[in-house]
Amino acid sequence: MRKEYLTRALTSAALALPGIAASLPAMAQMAPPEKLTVGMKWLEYQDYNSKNELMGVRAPYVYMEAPLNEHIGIEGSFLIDAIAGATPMAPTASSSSSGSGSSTDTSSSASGGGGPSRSAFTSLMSAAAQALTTEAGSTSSSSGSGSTSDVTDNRVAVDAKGTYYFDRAAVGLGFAHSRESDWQSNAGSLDLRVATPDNNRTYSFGVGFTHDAITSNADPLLDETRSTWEGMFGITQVLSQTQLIQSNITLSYGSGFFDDIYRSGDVRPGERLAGAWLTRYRHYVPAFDAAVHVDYRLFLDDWGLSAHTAELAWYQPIGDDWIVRPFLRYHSQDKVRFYDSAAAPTTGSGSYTNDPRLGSFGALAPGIAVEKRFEDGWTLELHAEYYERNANWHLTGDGSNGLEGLSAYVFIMGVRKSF
Amino acid sequence: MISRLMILPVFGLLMAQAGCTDVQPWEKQYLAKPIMALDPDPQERKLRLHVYGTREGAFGGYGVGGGGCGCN
Repeated sequence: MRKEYLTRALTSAALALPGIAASLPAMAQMAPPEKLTVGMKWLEYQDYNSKNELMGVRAPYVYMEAPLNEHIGIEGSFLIDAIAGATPMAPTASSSSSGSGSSTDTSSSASGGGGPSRSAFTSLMSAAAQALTTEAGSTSSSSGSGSTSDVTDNRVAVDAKGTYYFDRAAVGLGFAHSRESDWQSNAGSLDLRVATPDNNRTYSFGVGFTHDAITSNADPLLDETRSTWEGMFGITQVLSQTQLIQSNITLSYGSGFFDDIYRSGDVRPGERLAGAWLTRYRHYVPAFDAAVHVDYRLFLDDWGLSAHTAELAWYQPIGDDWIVRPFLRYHSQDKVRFYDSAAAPTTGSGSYTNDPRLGSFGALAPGIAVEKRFEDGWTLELHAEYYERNANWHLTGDGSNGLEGLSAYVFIMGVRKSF
Repeated sequence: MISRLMILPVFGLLMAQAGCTDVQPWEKQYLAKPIMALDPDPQERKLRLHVYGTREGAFGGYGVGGGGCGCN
């Protein structure tokens, strides 16, 4: 009894120390955020292949988090994804020159215009998104051996989440909605975190459901759906005074329509069972007052795709106000069983895709991020990253023949203010 | 596929064995630093995962209920 009292007293005293109670997201933050925080980020993305400048994305992103009372915290975000640029057209056997159609590597399956009837809300958001794109509509052109299609598209996404905090547990309920001209998605989630009495281990559980409604700007008769269930279990464990590890397993099962509607001949199975095992390790280095972050994800699915993704980052504070973070990400994946880089299916029946995202390749992404904090609660963030995908960079050197390389620049600028 | 996924629960056993050190609350000043957070900038992660999701076939692992997108 006396020992328990002593432990509690010491725990309370420790949590009262500056910097300990304020930031325990590393373990289980079993309390609402202390302050209202409002922020905005701006994503600039541009990719290229060997011949063309391809898709560009501008995505302003606004977010907030706030405490409602001592037990409840809320958070939410709003994103406009404005996509514009050229995409290489699929080398299909029955190639279409329509600007609203085929592509081998588009970041969106849709082009601007058309689509289902829209609500006033969506029209307003689309108008805002259109203002971010350099041009509207779709055209096609040819350059040398490769033809491209100019496309634009806008996506609007909102999400919100509320979390109720107990002494050593938290329950969160979330909702997300995303809409573009040929795609509408609604998702809900429920998650639970429970910490052990010593706060050295946290168990996480989560379930989620997503319903997608899919139409086509090229085929007004297309009206499909997809439903996806997700389940997640994770453990976060303090290993020592300077080490922390988390491991999560997420299983998802989707059923419905998976075909790429703008990729000629693309036929995919009507179900997909996938598992992702993510492990995150954090190690504080006292000699440099820095932290090493190591993330690794193993992905497997019943389409035959397997992938290894690893990221190494070094968080280096400089003085009290600056944090510099160089990082390197590597991704390698094995193709799905029905991937074939040929222009048309080589087998008479069954599933087929030439989507390079489902082929075998490796990808490297080095980058650097800088954060500057100001005394009055403002924080400025800059993130620059280069991404390159190459079939020869596959983990075992066994990339897909004919898979075209791709390079991209990613810039994220952000500002946030805590009140 | 099922047999391949069977390796995943092994992580639970590994993690169960990982808690080998009993760290007291007053010994967590390093773990409490913002740079030691598992997810120091969730919004940035969200944007980056969106970019990767449009270029790669793998997904997930960071949570549930993110919603779908026509881009992948």
